[in-house]
Amino acid sequence: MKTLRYLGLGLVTLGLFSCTKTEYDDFEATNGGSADFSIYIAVGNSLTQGYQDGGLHNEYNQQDNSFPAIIAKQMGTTFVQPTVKSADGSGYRKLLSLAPDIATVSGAVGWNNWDKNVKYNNLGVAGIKLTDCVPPFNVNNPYQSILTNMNPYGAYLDLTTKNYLENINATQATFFTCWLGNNDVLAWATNGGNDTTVISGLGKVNNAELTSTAEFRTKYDAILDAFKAMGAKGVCATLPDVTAIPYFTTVPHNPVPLDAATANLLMNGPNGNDGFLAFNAALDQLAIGGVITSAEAAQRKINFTAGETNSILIEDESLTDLSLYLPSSSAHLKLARQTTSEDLIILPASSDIGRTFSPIQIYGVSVPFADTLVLTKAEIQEVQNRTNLLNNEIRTSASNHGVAVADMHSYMFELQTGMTFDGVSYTAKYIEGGAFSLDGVHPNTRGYAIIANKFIETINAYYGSNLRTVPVQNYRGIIFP
Amino acid sequence: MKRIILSAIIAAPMLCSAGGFQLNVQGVKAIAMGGAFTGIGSDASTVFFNPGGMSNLHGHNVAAGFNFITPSVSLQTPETANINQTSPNSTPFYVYYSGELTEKISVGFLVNNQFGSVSSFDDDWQGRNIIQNISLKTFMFQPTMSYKIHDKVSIGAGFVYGLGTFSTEKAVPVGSATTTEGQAHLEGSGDGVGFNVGVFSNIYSIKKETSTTDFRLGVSYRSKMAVDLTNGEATFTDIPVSLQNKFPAKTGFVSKITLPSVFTAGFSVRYTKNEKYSLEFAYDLNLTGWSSYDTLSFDFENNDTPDSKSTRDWQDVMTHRFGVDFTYKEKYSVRVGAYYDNSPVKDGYLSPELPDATQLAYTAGLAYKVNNMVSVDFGYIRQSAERESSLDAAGFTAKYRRKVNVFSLGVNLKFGVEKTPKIETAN
Repeated sequence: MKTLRYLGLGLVTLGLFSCTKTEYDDFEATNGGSADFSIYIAVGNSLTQGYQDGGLHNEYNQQDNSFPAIIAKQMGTTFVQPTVKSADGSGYRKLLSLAPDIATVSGAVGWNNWDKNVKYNNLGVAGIKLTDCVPPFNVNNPYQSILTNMNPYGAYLDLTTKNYLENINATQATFFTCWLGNNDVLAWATNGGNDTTVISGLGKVNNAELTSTAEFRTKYDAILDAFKAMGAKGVCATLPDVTAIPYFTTVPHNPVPLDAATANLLMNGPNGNDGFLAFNAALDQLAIGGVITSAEAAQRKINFTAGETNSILIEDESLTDLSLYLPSSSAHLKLARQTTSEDLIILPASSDIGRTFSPIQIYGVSVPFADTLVLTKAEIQEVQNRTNLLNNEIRTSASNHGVAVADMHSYMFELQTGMTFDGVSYTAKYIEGGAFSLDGVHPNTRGYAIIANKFIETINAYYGSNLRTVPVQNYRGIIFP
Repeated sequence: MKRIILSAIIAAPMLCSAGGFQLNVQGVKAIAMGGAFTGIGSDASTVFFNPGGMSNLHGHNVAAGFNFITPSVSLQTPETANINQTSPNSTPFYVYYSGELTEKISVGFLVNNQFGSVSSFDDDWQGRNIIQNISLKTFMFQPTMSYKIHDKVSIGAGFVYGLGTFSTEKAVPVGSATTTEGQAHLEGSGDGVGFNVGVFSNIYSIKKETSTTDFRLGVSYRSKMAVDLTNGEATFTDIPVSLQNKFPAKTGFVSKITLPSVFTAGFSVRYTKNEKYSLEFAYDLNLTGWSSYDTLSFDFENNDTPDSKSTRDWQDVMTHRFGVDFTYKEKYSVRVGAYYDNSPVKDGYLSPELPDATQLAYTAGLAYKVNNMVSVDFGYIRQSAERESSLDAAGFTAKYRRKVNVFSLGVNLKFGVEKTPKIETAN
């Protein structure tokens, strides 16, 4: 009887304690499904290399947490990156106040003094276009190979004797991510829809052209052929609509504040008859004379009023050049008009607004913004159309090669409307959106974690693997002062 | 042999509860009988369960009880295999008094913790931007009166004054060169008023030579209560300097927590075989008006601090409660019960702070009547539930396992009864 009593008591105790265990078992071991993650190679540009805040830097493990590095960690595979040799790396932008006041931290000498003999897994090279990766190279752009060879972000690869494709061929990848092509549309857009950029020592260089659909497809196929030949499986990514990034969406088209006296001075001129009103009257005369249409005359009329929301004065290369018809005093207005809500002003232009040369020469007000600072409605459509066409080529090429596609194009629009992870919301807005870095083009580390998760979900869906996504807030966001 | 049977009942694998943040631990006999008591009314806890039942008690009755609630909650997210809540144990208590003033009128009073919730996580857990710690405690005070309007029917009503204290903590997702995240701490208290009314009826008895069978009915309604937190204080720490106007070191806030109404209808049947033994069955149906908990918002005094408003959108729910009491020679009682609790939390709104789930919970208890004045009760509740759902507004999805043990100890005192101490057979 006594034994039974103890037995009963024992059962009670056992029952209570065994029943309070609620812990979940560990996740099962990583399983690649039909993919093999043993050698993972990432090809791409700055986005793959882990670039943010206008540079490649690592003072808070920014480069260590490039999106391919995050994916590799979840795969449990070795992943060697050409990590900057000093934390400040190539230099980067830093937030000093929320004005926003942004300072530039200069890079350290020797930051990219990499050992070219190491076999790297991350083959991201900031600035590289798909057209730079695969021959034939552009005969009209003699600088293409020079630019590739001297690209400081590619200094870990031997690009003098081997082109980028040959460097890919030298890997023994079993798995790859390929996010190439962004610069094939981005460079043109960030230059305000221009083919050329000025590079010190070289002058004007044709390196910002939109890549043609045919060339893009041929070269994209070549990259995927290379991986297919070594039996690697992988995932490609589409190109986001670059006009949705903070670089283009932050500066409003009408940010110019003017008081009544200044507006009056601008419209009537110092002598009462030599301001924009006189210029507007001249436009009407040119329309009557048939030099421009009356629609263009209306589009080009300049109007400043007292208030906070005056539109910026810009140059638009699509307008009729009026230099032959304008007096020398208004020669600088030969391609001028004011912005409309359909124009996008690039982020670096924000520091130019209201910059004065003299009391009457105010940048964006009496002196037009250069064409390179503005993406006009027509240019926006052009880059969006080209992006859509190139994305179709990416999808077709990937499908022909049996490779998964992470649709970053649609994901970017989802980010614009807002995403929430573990209680924190993200949008595509500059600084306050939480996902982009200070350069307004590249994500910050949390943004890269969001991207890594999108890749992981795509890989799992396509290959039946069981990679785990990562908690986004475990990575650093913007470093606030 | 009796002891062994009892052990087997308790040790059998048991499942477990919910009920939002309502603490259904307001009387040890009720605890042991699945929470059904509205149609029993046999001790002073009827001041809470059904004020109408007070007229059924003779003399002065005091019931006091203490609960020890030990929760164990684990989560699994797509990113983290296991997260344990670090929630502390909680110890709600109650004290009831009911006294016969005249033959028809009784007066009573109660102090108890009717609502409460305490959840904690490690500070660096994955959902730290949703919740790290949250604590809601309430104290209710209720002067009550009952009146016997008929030989078989009595009514009761009480005015309820409630005090609530609330605190919560979460991480603020902004970092600087020296900090990775900020920290928000909100704390406030407030009060509110409500009422509690009930009707109790000893509707029918069958008296035979060796046995009596009593049928009883009860209906009660406890109103909802809005607890206004008017003096809330928020403190923000580890905030980057450039964001300190948005998240200042200290600012006030106001909020409001609405505690739901509870409507209950119940009955009991008690079969008494001479003085040898009695067997009682009770059933209660609760309708809890959780739809009053539609949003939880915090309006900060500092204009730059973003006000927070989260939609809870809870729904009204029914709970079925069953219990059986077997009493031997009016001295030793064994009780078992169960309740089926529907979760007020809809899919898409399940927050890690309160992973409520629809479930069947089991209860058990013992009582020992020391003498005509004193009896001691022990009660136990076992909740065990699993649920997988999301908190869509926060972009958070998890699987939850929640097991709770509730141990309750109570004492009933009775004095000032002139002749028969057998309240059970009153009427």
